[in-house]
Amino acid sequence: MPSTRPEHSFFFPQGGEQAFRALFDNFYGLVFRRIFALTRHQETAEELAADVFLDLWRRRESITSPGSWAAYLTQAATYKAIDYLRKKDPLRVEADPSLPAPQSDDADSALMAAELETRLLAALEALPPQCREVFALSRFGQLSYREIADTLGISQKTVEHQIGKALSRLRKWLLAAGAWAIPFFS
Amino acid sequence: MTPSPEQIARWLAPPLSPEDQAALDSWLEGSADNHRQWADWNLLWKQYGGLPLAEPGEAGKARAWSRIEAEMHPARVQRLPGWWKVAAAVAFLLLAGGWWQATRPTTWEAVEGTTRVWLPDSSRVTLRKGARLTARRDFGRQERQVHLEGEAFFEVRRDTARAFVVQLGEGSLRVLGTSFLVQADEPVRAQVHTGKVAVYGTGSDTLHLLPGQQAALRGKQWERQSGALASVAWATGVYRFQAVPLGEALDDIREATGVAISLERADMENCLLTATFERETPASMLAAIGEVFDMEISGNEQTGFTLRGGACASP
Repeated sequence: MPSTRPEHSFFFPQGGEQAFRALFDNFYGLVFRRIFALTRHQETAEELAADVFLDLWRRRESITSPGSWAAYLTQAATYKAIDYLRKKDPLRVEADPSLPAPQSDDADSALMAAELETRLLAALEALPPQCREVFALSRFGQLSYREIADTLGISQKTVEHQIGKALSRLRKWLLAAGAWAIPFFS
Repeated sequence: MTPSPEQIARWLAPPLSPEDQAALDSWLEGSADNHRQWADWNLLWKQYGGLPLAEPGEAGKARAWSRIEAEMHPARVQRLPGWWKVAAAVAFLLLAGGWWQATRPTTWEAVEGTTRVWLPDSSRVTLRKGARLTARRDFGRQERQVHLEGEAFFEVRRDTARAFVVQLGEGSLRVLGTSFLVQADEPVRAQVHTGKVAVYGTGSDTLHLLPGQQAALRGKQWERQSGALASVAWATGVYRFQAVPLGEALDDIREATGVAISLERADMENCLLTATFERETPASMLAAIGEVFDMEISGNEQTGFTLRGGACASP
Protein backbone atom coordinates (compact mmCIF):
# COMPACT_ATOMS: atom_id res chain seq x y z
CA MET A 1 0.00 0.00 0.00
CA PRO A 2 1.50 3.35 -0.94
CA SER A 3 0.79 5.00 2.41
CA THR A 4 2.75 2.41 4.33
CA ARG A 5 5.81 2.52 2.08
CA PRO A 6 8.90 3.31 4.08
CA GLU A 7 10.00 6.87 3.53
CA HIS A 8 13.52 6.05 2.51
CA SER A 9 12.16 4.72 -0.77
CA PHE A 10 11.61 8.30 -2.01
CA PHE A 11 14.87 9.02 -3.74
CA PHE A 12 14.05 12.55 -4.76
CA PRO A 13 15.82 14.59 -6.00
CA GLN A 14 18.37 11.96 -7.14
CA GLY A 15 15.70 9.68 -8.63
CA GLY A 16 14.43 12.41 -10.95
CA GLU A 17 11.01 12.39 -12.49
CA GLN A 18 9.88 8.97 -11.35
CA ALA A 19 10.90 9.58 -7.77
CA PHE A 20 9.11 12.92 -7.94
CA ARG A 21 5.95 11.24 -9.17
CA ALA A 22 6.13 8.71 -6.33
CA LEU A 23 6.56 11.55 -3.87
CA PHE A 24 3.53 13.32 -5.31
CA ASP A 25 1.40 10.17 -5.28
CA ASN A 26 2.16 9.48 -1.67
CA PHE A 27 2.09 12.95 -0.17
CA TYR A 28 -0.41 14.91 -2.23
CA GLY A 29 -3.18 14.00 0.24
CA LEU A 30 -1.13 15.10 3.22
CA VAL A 31 -0.28 18.45 1.61
CA PHE A 32 -3.84 19.02 0.40
CA ARG A 33 -5.38 18.29 3.82
CA ARG A 34 -3.03 20.63 5.62
CA ILE A 35 -3.66 23.48 3.18
CA PHE A 36 -7.40 22.88 3.20
CA ALA A 37 -7.43 22.97 6.99
CA LEU A 38 -5.91 26.43 6.87
CA THR A 39 -7.65 27.92 3.82
CA ARG A 40 -10.92 25.97 4.07
CA HIS A 41 -11.43 26.18 0.33
CA GLN A 42 -11.22 23.14 -1.93
CA GLU A 43 -10.05 24.73 -5.18
CA THR A 44 -7.54 26.95 -3.43
CA ALA A 45 -6.16 23.95 -1.58
CA GLU A 46 -5.81 22.00 -4.84
CA GLU A 47 -4.00 24.87 -6.49
CA LEU A 48 -1.66 25.57 -3.60
CA ALA A 49 -0.91 21.86 -3.13
CA ALA A 50 0.20 21.69 -6.77
CA ASP A 51 2.34 24.80 -6.12
CA VAL A 52 4.08 23.10 -3.19
CA PHE A 53 5.14 20.24 -5.47
CA LEU A 54 6.07 22.59 -8.31
CA ASP A 55 8.35 24.54 -5.98
CA LEU A 56 10.01 21.27 -5.11
CA TRP A 57 10.46 20.37 -8.78
CA ARG A 58 11.87 23.81 -9.64
CA ARG A 59 14.39 23.55 -6.83
CA ARG A 60 15.38 19.95 -7.55
CA GLU A 61 18.95 20.94 -8.43
CA SER A 62 19.56 22.72 -5.15
CA ILE A 63 17.73 20.66 -2.51
CA THR A 64 18.80 17.55 -0.70
CA SER A 65 16.49 14.81 0.49
CA PRO A 66 15.28 15.74 3.99
CA GLY A 67 15.19 13.29 6.89
CA SER A 68 11.44 13.02 6.61
CA TRP A 69 9.49 14.00 3.51
CA ALA A 70 6.25 13.94 5.50
CA ALA A 71 7.57 16.53 7.97
CA TYR A 72 9.20 18.59 5.23
CA LEU A 73 6.06 18.72 3.09
CA THR A 74 3.76 19.40 6.04
CA GLN A 75 5.85 22.44 6.82
CA ALA A 76 6.02 23.55 3.21
CA ALA A 77 2.22 23.23 2.99
CA THR A 78 1.78 25.29 6.16
CA TYR A 79 4.00 28.08 4.85
CA LYS A 80 2.24 28.03 1.48
CA ALA A 81 -1.15 28.41 3.16
CA ILE A 82 0.03 31.18 5.53
CA ASP A 83 1.57 33.02 2.62
CA TYR A 84 -1.68 32.78 0.72
CA LEU A 85 -3.79 33.93 3.66
CA ARG A 86 -1.53 36.92 4.26
CA LYS A 87 -1.90 38.08 0.68
CA LYS A 88 -5.54 37.18 0.40
CA ASP A 89 -7.16 39.04 3.24
CA PRO A 90 -9.79 38.52 4.62
CA LEU A 91 -10.44 34.79 4.82
CA ARG A 92 -12.84 33.31 2.38
CA VAL A 93 -16.02 32.46 4.17
CA GLU A 94 -18.46 31.69 1.37
CA ALA A 95 -19.82 28.17 1.45
CA ASP A 96 -17.80 25.89 -0.78
CA PRO A 97 -20.30 24.07 -3.01
CA SER A 98 -17.85 21.31 -3.85
CA LEU A 99 -17.71 20.12 -0.27
CA PRO A 100 -19.77 17.13 0.74
CA ALA A 101 -22.67 18.03 2.98
CA PRO A 102 -21.92 17.37 6.63
CA GLN A 103 -22.86 13.83 7.58
CA SER A 104 -26.08 13.66 9.45
CA ASP A 105 -29.24 11.56 9.43
CA ASP A 106 -31.21 14.72 9.76
CA ALA A 107 -31.27 17.46 7.13
CA ASP A 108 -32.13 20.05 9.78
CA SER A 109 -29.12 19.38 11.89
CA ALA A 110 -26.91 19.29 8.76
CA LEU A 111 -28.20 22.73 7.89
CA MET A 112 -27.58 23.90 11.41
CA ALA A 113 -24.03 22.55 11.30
CA ALA A 114 -23.41 24.36 8.00
CA GLU A 115 -24.85 27.57 9.42
CA LEU A 116 -22.75 27.25 12.52
CA GLU A 117 -19.65 26.76 10.37
CA THR A 118 -20.41 29.93 8.40
CA ARG A 119 -20.88 31.89 11.63
CA LEU A 120 -17.73 30.55 13.23
CA LEU A 121 -15.73 31.50 10.13
CA ALA A 122 -17.34 34.94 9.96
CA ALA A 123 -16.37 35.56 13.60
CA LEU A 124 -12.84 34.45 12.79
CA GLU A 125 -12.72 36.94 9.95
CA ALA A 126 -13.44 39.75 12.38
CA LEU A 127 -10.19 39.05 14.29
CA PRO A 128 -6.98 41.03 13.71
CA PRO A 129 -4.72 39.22 11.17
CA GLN A 130 -2.03 37.85 13.48
CA CYS A 131 -4.60 36.74 16.00
CA ARG A 132 -6.53 34.90 13.29
CA GLU A 133 -3.43 33.28 11.86
CA VAL A 134 -2.28 31.91 15.21
CA PHE A 135 -5.76 30.68 16.09
CA ALA A 136 -6.19 28.96 12.69
CA LEU A 137 -2.82 27.22 12.99
CA SER A 138 -3.83 25.91 16.39
CA ARG A 139 -7.38 24.84 15.64
CA PHE A 140 -7.27 23.89 11.94
CA GLY A 141 -3.61 23.02 11.59
CA GLN A 142 -3.51 21.10 14.90
CA LEU A 143 -0.17 22.65 15.79
CA SER A 144 0.98 23.02 19.40
CA TYR A 145 1.77 26.50 20.74
CA ARG A 146 5.47 25.67 20.50
CA GLU A 147 5.13 24.59 16.85
CA ILE A 148 3.17 27.74 15.98
CA ALA A 149 5.85 29.88 17.60
CA ASP A 150 8.56 28.11 15.58
CA THR A 151 6.59 28.29 12.34
CA LEU A 152 5.89 32.00 12.61
CA GLY A 153 9.17 32.94 14.30
CA ILE A 154 7.47 34.51 17.34
CA SER A 155 7.67 33.66 21.04
CA GLN A 156 5.45 31.08 22.67
CA LYS A 157 4.21 33.80 24.99
CA THR A 158 2.97 35.81 22.01
CA VAL A 159 1.21 32.72 20.68
CA GLU A 160 -0.55 32.20 24.02
CA HIS A 161 -1.48 35.86 24.15
CA GLN A 162 -3.04 35.75 20.67
CA ILE A 163 -4.93 32.52 21.39
CA GLY A 164 -6.42 33.87 24.60
CA LYS A 165 -7.31 37.14 22.91
CA ALA A 166 -8.89 35.27 20.01
CA LEU A 167 -11.11 33.23 22.32
CA SER A 168 -12.38 36.20 24.34
CA ARG A 169 -13.11 38.14 21.17
CA LEU A 170 -14.72 35.26 19.32
CA ARG A 171 -17.01 34.62 22.27
CA LYS A 172 -18.00 38.25 22.57
CA TRP A 173 -18.52 38.61 18.82
CA LEU A 174 -20.69 35.50 18.55
CA LEU A 175 -22.76 36.33 21.61
CA ALA A 176 -23.26 39.93 20.51
CA ALA A 177 -24.32 38.80 17.04
CA GLY A 178 -26.79 36.41 18.66
CA ALA A 179 -25.21 33.94 16.32
CA TRP A 180 -24.07 31.34 18.73
CA ALA A 181 -25.75 29.31 21.40
CA ILE A 182 -24.50 26.42 23.45
CA PRO A 183 -27.12 23.86 22.33
CA PHE A 184 -25.80 23.90 18.77
CA PHE A 185 -23.17 21.21 18.87
CA SER A 186 -22.99 20.04 22.44
CA MET B 1 -9.68 38.66 38.95
CA THR B 2 -9.80 38.46 35.17
CA PRO B 3 -7.59 35.81 33.60
CA SER B 4 -4.92 37.02 31.19
CA PRO B 5 -5.12 35.88 27.55
CA GLU B 6 -2.01 33.76 28.15
CA GLN B 7 -3.74 32.01 31.05
CA ILE B 8 -6.82 31.24 28.98
CA ALA B 9 -4.63 29.76 26.26
CA ARG B 10 -2.68 27.58 28.69
CA TRP B 11 -5.85 26.41 30.48
CA LEU B 12 -7.15 25.07 27.17
CA ALA B 13 -4.00 23.13 26.33
CA PRO B 14 -3.45 20.34 28.88
CA PRO B 15 -1.45 19.27 30.77
CA LEU B 16 -1.77 22.24 33.12
CA SER B 17 1.02 23.23 35.48
CA PRO B 18 0.03 23.15 39.20
CA GLU B 19 0.01 26.98 39.23
CA ASP B 20 -2.30 27.21 36.21
CA GLN B 21 -4.59 24.54 37.66
CA ALA B 22 -4.81 26.39 40.98
CA ALA B 23 -5.51 29.70 39.23
CA LEU B 24 -8.25 28.07 37.10
CA ASP B 25 -9.88 26.42 40.13
CA SER B 26 -9.96 29.60 42.16
CA TRP B 27 -11.24 31.63 39.21
CA LEU B 28 -14.04 29.12 38.61
CA GLU B 29 -15.05 29.36 42.27
CA GLY B 30 -15.41 33.11 41.82
CA SER B 31 -18.81 33.27 40.11
CA ALA B 32 -21.37 31.46 37.99
CA ASP B 33 -20.52 33.86 35.20
CA ASN B 34 -16.93 32.64 35.22
CA HIS B 35 -18.26 29.10 34.82
CA ARG B 36 -20.32 30.16 31.85
CA GLN B 37 -17.34 31.86 30.19
CA TRP B 38 -15.17 28.80 30.76
CA ALA B 39 -17.84 26.54 29.21
CA ASP B 40 -18.12 28.88 26.21
CA TRP B 41 -14.36 28.95 25.62
CA ASN B 42 -14.19 25.18 25.79
CA LEU B 43 -17.08 24.80 23.39
CA LEU B 44 -15.57 27.29 20.94
CA TRP B 45 -12.23 25.52 21.19
CA LYS B 46 -13.92 22.24 20.31
CA GLN B 47 -16.16 23.66 17.60
CA TYR B 48 -13.32 25.35 15.73
CA GLY B 49 -11.23 22.21 16.05
CA GLY B 50 -14.07 20.05 14.72
CA LEU B 51 -14.97 21.94 11.54
CA PRO B 52 -15.25 19.38 8.72
CA LEU B 53 -12.24 18.79 6.50
CA ALA B 54 -12.21 17.92 2.81
CA GLU B 55 -10.61 14.90 1.21
CA PRO B 56 -8.32 15.51 -1.78
CA GLY B 57 -10.37 13.44 -4.24
CA GLU B 58 -8.90 11.70 -7.23
CA ALA B 59 -10.14 14.14 -9.84
CA GLY B 60 -8.51 16.97 -7.89
CA LYS B 61 -5.31 15.03 -7.59
CA ALA B 62 -5.28 14.35 -11.33
CA ARG B 63 -5.87 18.06 -12.01
CA ALA B 64 -3.01 19.02 -9.72
CA TRP B 65 -0.70 16.55 -11.45
CA SER B 66 -1.65 17.80 -14.92
CA ARG B 67 -0.68 21.31 -13.84
CA ILE B 68 2.63 20.10 -12.49
CA GLU B 69 3.33 17.99 -15.54
CA ALA B 70 2.60 20.89 -17.87
CA GLU B 71 5.46 22.75 -16.23
CA MET B 72 7.78 19.76 -16.10
CA HIS B 73 7.45 19.29 -19.86
CA PRO B 74 6.79 22.75 -21.28
CA ALA B 75 6.11 23.14 -24.99
CA ARG B 76 9.17 24.55 -26.70
CA VAL B 77 8.81 28.12 -27.78
CA GLN B 78 11.73 29.62 -29.63
CA ARG B 79 12.20 32.86 -31.43
CA LEU B 80 12.94 32.58 -35.14
CA PRO B 81 15.82 34.69 -36.48
CA GLY B 82 14.74 37.44 -38.88
CA TRP B 83 16.40 36.25 -42.07
CA TRP B 84 14.34 33.68 -43.85
CA LYS B 85 16.97 31.18 -45.06
CA VAL B 86 18.04 30.41 -41.57
CA ALA B 87 14.40 30.51 -40.55
CA ALA B 88 13.52 27.70 -42.92
CA ALA B 89 16.29 25.49 -41.58
CA VAL B 90 15.40 26.29 -37.99
CA ALA B 91 11.70 25.68 -38.67
CA PHE B 92 12.53 22.18 -39.88
CA LEU B 93 14.61 21.49 -36.80
CA LEU B 94 11.91 22.88 -34.55
CA LEU B 95 9.25 20.74 -36.18
CA ALA B 96 11.36 17.65 -35.75
CA GLY B 97 12.16 18.64 -32.20
CA GLY B 98 8.54 19.39 -31.43
CA TRP B 99 7.47 16.03 -32.78
CA TRP B 100 10.07 14.32 -30.66
CA GLN B 101 8.95 16.26 -27.61
CA ALA B 102 5.30 15.40 -28.22
CA THR B 103 5.85 11.70 -28.75
CA ARG B 104 8.52 11.12 -26.16
CA PRO B 105 7.04 8.43 -23.95
CA THR B 106 6.69 8.58 -20.20
CA THR B 107 7.51 5.39 -18.34
CA TRP B 108 6.60 4.49 -14.82
CA GLU B 109 8.21 1.56 -13.10
CA ALA B 110 7.30 0.02 -9.75
CA VAL B 111 10.80 -0.44 -8.44
CA GLU B 112 10.28 -0.54 -4.69
CA GLY B 113 6.81 -1.99 -4.38
CA THR B 114 3.22 -1.36 -5.40
CA THR B 115 3.06 2.01 -7.16
CA ARG B 116 0.07 4.03 -8.18
CA VAL B 117 0.03 6.02 -11.39
CA TRP B 118 -2.52 8.65 -12.37
CA LEU B 119 -2.75 9.17 -16.10
CA PRO B 120 -3.67 12.58 -17.54
CA ASP B 121 -7.28 11.42 -18.13
CA SER B 122 -7.43 10.61 -14.37
CA SER B 123 -7.50 6.89 -15.00
CA ARG B 124 -5.63 5.09 -12.28
CA VAL B 125 -3.18 2.24 -12.74
CA THR B 126 -1.76 0.32 -9.80
CA LEU B 127 1.53 -1.31 -10.78
CA ARG B 128 2.75 -4.35 -8.97
CA LYS B 129 6.42 -4.47 -8.03
CA GLY B 130 8.52 -4.88 -11.17
CA ALA B 131 5.81 -3.69 -13.59
CA ARG B 132 6.47 -0.99 -16.22
CA LEU B 133 3.85 1.19 -17.85
CA THR B 134 4.60 3.43 -20.80
CA ALA B 135 2.38 6.17 -22.22
CA ARG B 136 3.17 8.38 -25.19
CA ARG B 137 3.35 12.10 -24.57
CA ASP B 138 0.32 12.61 -26.82
CA PHE B 139 -1.60 10.09 -24.72
CA GLY B 140 -5.27 10.64 -25.14
CA ARG B 141 -5.30 12.86 -28.19
CA GLN B 142 -7.21 10.18 -30.10
CA GLU B 143 -6.82 6.99 -28.17
CA ARG B 144 -5.50 6.48 -24.69
CA GLN B 145 -2.69 4.06 -25.48
CA VAL B 146 -0.35 2.50 -22.96
CA HIS B 147 2.09 -0.37 -23.03
CA LEU B 148 2.43 -2.73 -20.07
CA GLU B 149 5.05 -5.15 -18.85
CA GLY B 150 4.35 -7.02 -15.62
CA GLU B 151 1.16 -6.94 -13.59
CA ALA B 152 -1.18 -4.00 -13.14
CA PHE B 153 -4.71 -3.22 -12.03
CA PHE B 154 -6.44 -0.63 -14.21
CA GLU B 155 -9.30 1.64 -13.19
CA VAL B 156 -10.12 3.45 -16.38
CA ARG B 157 -12.09 6.67 -16.45
CA ARG B 158 -15.04 6.36 -18.80
CA ASP B 159 -14.61 8.28 -22.07
CA THR B 160 -16.65 6.97 -24.99
CA ALA B 161 -14.83 9.26 -27.44
CA ARG B 162 -11.36 7.92 -26.69
CA ALA B 163 -10.86 4.22 -26.17
CA PHE B 164 -8.29 3.08 -23.64
CA VAL B 165 -5.91 0.54 -25.18
CA VAL B 166 -3.37 -1.64 -23.39
CA GLN B 167 -0.68 -2.99 -25.73
CA LEU B 168 0.68 -6.40 -24.77
CA GLY B 169 3.18 -7.83 -27.26
CA GLU B 170 1.03 -9.96 -29.57
CA GLY B 171 -2.30 -8.78 -28.24
CA SER B 172 -4.13 -5.82 -26.87
CA LEU B 173 -7.12 -4.84 -24.76
CA ARG B 174 -9.58 -2.13 -25.54
CA VAL B 175 -12.05 -0.53 -23.15
CA LEU B 176 -14.02 2.66 -22.68
CA GLY B 177 -14.16 2.73 -18.90
CA THR B 178 -13.92 -0.16 -16.49
CA SER B 179 -11.61 -1.90 -14.04
CA PHE B 180 -9.54 -4.95 -14.83
CA LEU B 181 -6.36 -6.80 -13.97
CA VAL B 182 -3.65 -7.57 -16.52
CA GLN B 183 -0.73 -9.89 -15.93
CA ALA B 184 1.56 -9.24 -18.87
CA ASP B 185 3.78 -12.21 -18.09
CA GLU B 186 3.97 -15.54 -19.87
CA PRO B 187 1.15 -16.18 -20.62
CA VAL B 188 -0.54 -12.79 -20.67
CA ARG B 189 -3.78 -12.89 -18.68
CA ALA B 190 -6.63 -10.46 -18.20
CA GLN B 191 -9.56 -10.52 -15.80
CA VAL B 192 -12.42 -8.07 -15.60
CA HIS B 193 -13.86 -6.54 -12.44
CA THR B 194 -16.35 -3.99 -13.70
CA GLY B 195 -17.59 -3.00 -17.17
CA LYS B 196 -16.71 -4.75 -20.39
CA VAL B 197 -13.30 -5.39 -21.93
CA ALA B 198 -12.57 -6.34 -25.54
CA VAL B 199 -9.37 -8.35 -26.08
CA TYR B 200 -7.64 -8.63 -29.45
CA GLY B 201 -4.82 -10.89 -30.59
CA THR B 202 -3.01 -10.49 -33.89
CA GLY B 203 -4.26 -13.95 -34.91
CA SER B 204 -7.74 -14.17 -33.45
CA ASP B 205 -11.21 -12.74 -33.30
CA THR B 206 -12.17 -10.28 -30.64
CA LEU B 207 -13.33 -11.68 -27.33
CA HIS B 208 -15.58 -9.69 -25.02
CA LEU B 209 -15.07 -10.22 -21.31
CA LEU B 210 -17.62 -9.36 -18.64
CA PRO B 211 -17.11 -8.90 -14.89
CA GLY B 212 -15.72 -12.07 -13.32
CA GLN B 213 -14.49 -13.42 -16.67
CA GLN B 214 -10.89 -13.96 -17.67
CA ALA B 215 -8.81 -14.83 -20.71
CA ALA B 216 -5.22 -15.78 -21.49
CA LEU B 217 -3.17 -15.02 -24.60
CA ARG B 218 -1.86 -18.28 -26.10
CA GLY B 219 0.53 -17.42 -28.89
CA LYS B 220 -1.47 -14.88 -30.85
CA GLN B 221 -4.94 -15.93 -29.70
CA TRP B 222 -6.98 -15.05 -26.64
CA GLU B 223 -8.72 -18.00 -24.94
CA ARG B 224 -11.34 -17.85 -22.24
CA GLN B 225 -10.25 -19.24 -18.90
CA SER B 226 -12.21 -20.66 -16.01
CA GLY B 227 -11.27 -21.07 -12.38
CA ALA B 228 -10.67 -18.76 -9.47
CA LEU B 229 -9.81 -15.14 -10.23
CA ALA B 230 -6.43 -13.85 -9.13
CA SER B 231 -6.58 -11.68 -6.03
CA VAL B 232 -6.36 -7.94 -6.62
CA ALA B 233 -6.17 -7.09 -2.93
CA TRP B 234 -2.56 -5.87 -3.44
CA ALA B 235 -3.96 -3.13 -5.70
CA THR B 236 -7.27 -2.27 -4.10
CA GLY B 237 -6.59 -3.02 -0.43
CA VAL B 238 -9.94 -4.83 -0.38
CA TYR B 239 -10.03 -8.46 0.73
CA ARG B 240 -13.15 -10.60 0.48
CA PHE B 241 -12.69 -13.99 2.05
CA GLN B 242 -15.65 -16.35 1.59
CA ALA B 243 -14.97 -19.56 3.51
CA VAL B 244 -11.31 -19.44 2.46
CA PRO B 245 -8.80 -21.67 4.29
CA LEU B 246 -6.86 -19.50 6.74
CA GLY B 247 -3.54 -20.55 5.16
CA GLU B 248 -4.61 -19.12 1.79
CA ALA B 249 -6.00 -15.94 3.31
CA LEU B 250 -2.72 -15.32 5.12
CA ASP B 251 -0.83 -15.94 1.86
CA ASP B 252 -2.94 -13.22 0.25
CA ILE B 253 -2.24 -10.76 3.04
CA ARG B 254 1.46 -11.62 3.07
CA GLU B 255 1.77 -11.17 -0.64
CA ALA B 256 -0.19 -7.94 -0.78
CA THR B 257 1.42 -6.21 2.18
CA GLY B 258 4.89 -7.71 2.16
CA VAL B 259 4.59 -8.35 5.88
CA ALA B 260 5.86 -11.65 7.34
CA ILE B 261 3.19 -13.67 9.14
CA SER B 262 3.79 -17.02 10.79
CA LEU B 263 1.19 -19.43 12.04
CA GLU B 264 2.36 -21.38 15.05
CA ARG B 265 -0.09 -24.26 14.70
CA ALA B 266 0.01 -25.72 11.20
CA ASP B 267 -3.41 -27.39 11.61
CA MET B 268 -5.03 -23.93 11.87
CA GLU B 269 -4.31 -23.44 8.14
CA ASN B 270 -7.45 -25.32 7.20
CA CYS B 271 -9.86 -23.34 9.35
CA LEU B 272 -12.29 -21.52 7.07
CA LEU B 273 -12.30 -17.74 7.21
CA THR B 274 -15.15 -15.49 6.10
CA ALA B 275 -14.29 -11.82 6.39
CA THR B 276 -14.10 -8.58 4.43
CA PHE B 277 -11.36 -6.03 4.97
CA GLU B 278 -11.27 -2.68 3.24
CA ARG B 279 -7.98 -0.80 3.32
CA GLU B 280 -7.02 -1.90 6.80
CA THR B 281 -3.54 -2.25 8.22
CA PRO B 282 -2.06 -5.75 8.53
CA ALA B 283 -2.23 -5.36 12.33
CA SER B 284 -5.94 -4.66 12.37
CA MET B 285 -6.73 -7.46 9.89
CA LEU B 286 -4.75 -9.94 11.98
CA ALA B 287 -6.38 -8.69 15.18
CA ALA B 288 -9.80 -9.43 13.64
CA ILE B 289 -8.66 -12.87 12.48
CA GLY B 290 -7.29 -13.51 15.98
CA GLU B 291 -10.73 -12.69 17.40
CA VAL B 292 -12.45 -15.14 15.07
CA PHE B 293 -10.14 -18.08 15.80
CA ASP B 294 -9.21 -17.19 19.36
CA MET B 295 -5.53 -16.71 18.54
CA GLU B 296 -2.91 -14.54 20.19
CA ILE B 297 -1.13 -12.07 17.92
CA SER B 298 2.32 -10.68 18.58
CA GLY B 299 4.86 -8.70 16.61
CA ASN B 300 4.63 -5.70 14.28
CA GLU B 301 5.03 -4.78 10.61
CA GLN B 302 8.81 -4.54 10.83
CA THR B 303 9.53 -7.76 12.70
CA GLY B 304 6.59 -9.73 11.29
CA PHE B 305 3.59 -11.15 13.13
CA THR B 306 3.13 -14.49 14.88
CA LEU B 307 -0.27 -16.09 15.45
CA ARG B 308 -0.41 -18.49 18.38
CA GLY B 309 -2.92 -21.06 19.62
CA GLY B 310 -6.50 -20.96 18.42
CA ALA B 311 -9.35 -23.20 17.39
CA CYS B 312 -11.55 -23.27 14.29
CA ALA B 313 -14.65 -21.30 15.15
CA SER B 314 -16.83 -22.94 12.52
CA PRO B 315 -16.84 -26.60 11.48
